[in-house]
Amino acid sequence: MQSGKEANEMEQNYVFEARDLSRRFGGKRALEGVTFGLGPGHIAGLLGPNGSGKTTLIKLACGLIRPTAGEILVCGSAPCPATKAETAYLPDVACLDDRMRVRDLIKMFGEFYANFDPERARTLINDLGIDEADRLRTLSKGNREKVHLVLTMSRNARLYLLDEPIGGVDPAAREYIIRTILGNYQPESTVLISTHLIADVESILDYALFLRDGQIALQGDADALRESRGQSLDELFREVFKC
Amino acid sequence: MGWDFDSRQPIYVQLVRQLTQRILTGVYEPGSRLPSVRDLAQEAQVNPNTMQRAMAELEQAGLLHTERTSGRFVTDDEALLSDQRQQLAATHIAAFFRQMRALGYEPEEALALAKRQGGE
Amino acid sequence: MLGKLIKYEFRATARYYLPIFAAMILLGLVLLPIAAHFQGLEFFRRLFTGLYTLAIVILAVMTLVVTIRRFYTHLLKDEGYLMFTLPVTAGQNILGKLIPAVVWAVVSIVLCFVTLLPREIAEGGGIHLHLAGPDVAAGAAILLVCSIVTVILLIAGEILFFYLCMAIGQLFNEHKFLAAVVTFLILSVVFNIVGLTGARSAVIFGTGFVRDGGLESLLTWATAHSLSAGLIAGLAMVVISLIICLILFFITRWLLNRKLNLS
Repeated sequence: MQSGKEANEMEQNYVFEARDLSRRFGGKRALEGVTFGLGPGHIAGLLGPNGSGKTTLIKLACGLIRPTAGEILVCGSAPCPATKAETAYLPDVACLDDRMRVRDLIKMFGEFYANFDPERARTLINDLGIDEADRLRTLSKGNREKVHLVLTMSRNARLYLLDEPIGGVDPAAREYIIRTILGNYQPESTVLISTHLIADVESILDYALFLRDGQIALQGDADALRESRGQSLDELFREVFKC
Repeated sequence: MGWDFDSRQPIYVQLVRQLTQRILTGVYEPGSRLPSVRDLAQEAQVNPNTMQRAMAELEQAGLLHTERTSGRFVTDDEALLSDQRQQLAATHIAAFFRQMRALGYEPEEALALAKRQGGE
Repeated sequence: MLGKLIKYEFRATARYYLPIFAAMILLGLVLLPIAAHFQGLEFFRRLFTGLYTLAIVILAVMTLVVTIRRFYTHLLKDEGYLMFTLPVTAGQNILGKLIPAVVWAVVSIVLCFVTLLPREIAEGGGIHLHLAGPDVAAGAAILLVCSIVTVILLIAGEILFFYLCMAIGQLFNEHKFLAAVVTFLILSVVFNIVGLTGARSAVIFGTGFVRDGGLESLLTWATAHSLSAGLIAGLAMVVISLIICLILFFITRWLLNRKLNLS
């Protein structure tokens, strides 16, 4: 994996790439000059405090908004239905129709996503002790979020975008989420975890992108950063953002 | 035996140490097959690439070897293992003497204390 | 993909329409004719007529509410995070809501006619046509078909107009629905001034037109003139309403593509 500057020198098939990406909202610059390239087989962290532009970057990757300058590419193309088929997005909000039963959601995901693996979803949901016949709204909030995570991770996508997957959950749930993410690892896919709670996910990251005020403050291989700075990513984060 | 990591240091370095420990203490027996990189990474809750890197280093050191289709195996080279154990023991001993000296005990005193305690 | 979107949309909305349809069929085709047929059931005749009228009112209001709510809550609120990250285009998402809405509306109207039919026939209603010849009949038929297509297109256009107002409303960060309503009022006034009165009037006008014998006179007029008059008039109506629909669709689609503003 190369840093932004070296990216142009080598031919890489990046799963997720940004080239001088910028996005403004009225007068506000949410993202400015963001450049990076993530190859396949990595679990990367998009690290920054709230308001640093993480969600904007993810929305751009999903095609929910368009850049005001620069490019964003998923598997080499700008976001479109074809890239959406290869992008598994777990947003920070609950966006599933909670009147639906779990098994109906499994069926729906299978119908719209060709790379969805219903068997894997069913196995994971059964392991959670959730009955497929339950309607989503009868489940606890934690279980609802886990179902959404399972559905997202049961897709064999090229790019996984997880927006704050571990916000405010108990340690057992956190371990479950991490285990699910690791259990889903594929060498052809890339996972991007967007979070401001770094200590929880540090150990599974192999690349880090630090975002501050819409710009990349620092990026690099996780272990290389730890070695050169003698700090954990969490400590590095606090230092970079002085909070 | 759990996996414990200090996030301040590169994780692959710590993995190399912990895997070596497991091999040298026989948790992974000589000649036995190691779990896959993915399974081991999940067990340790680390990134598979990091685990892969650690295992590659162990292969370089000769503690592991890869059979093309069957996976990774612990070496059954007793001479190498014995050698590694001695090296690890040497580091433990050096640390012991260092810590004792910090408490004010010279090596001879430290050794005498150790013999008495070891005899109990 | 569009087919799947439409399928799920029908499933989500059937729960609202089917019960009312069942009630209307029951009242109009079973209970009312029975009550009308036998003597001494005056009370029931009035009761069923009242219930039937109530059903129609509920249907009309519900069609409007469901159509608007489905688009707003499913595409422009939190569920939009799912819908717009599915491997579908914004256009498919719009059509996925529009087509079922139009189908339900058309079925509702047809059902109204069908359930009223027994009563009409019983009271001696009907359409009498004096046809002067086969090619004139063809002209009348074409005009009739074009009228029906035009009404369907105008219904679609009216729904697209609601969608457009909501798409404009969601541009704002707060009070999105209020903004949509205000947009609706402003644009309605503008269009009224410009002369496009919308399908509301067309549909109300159209059904009243048929009841009061207007269709008879229109067809009589068409039959009195040549085939080409019916053809030209018919095609003009269809083309104009189609253009209106396309304009509304493309603007709405552009807004959802470029200016989607999920919270």
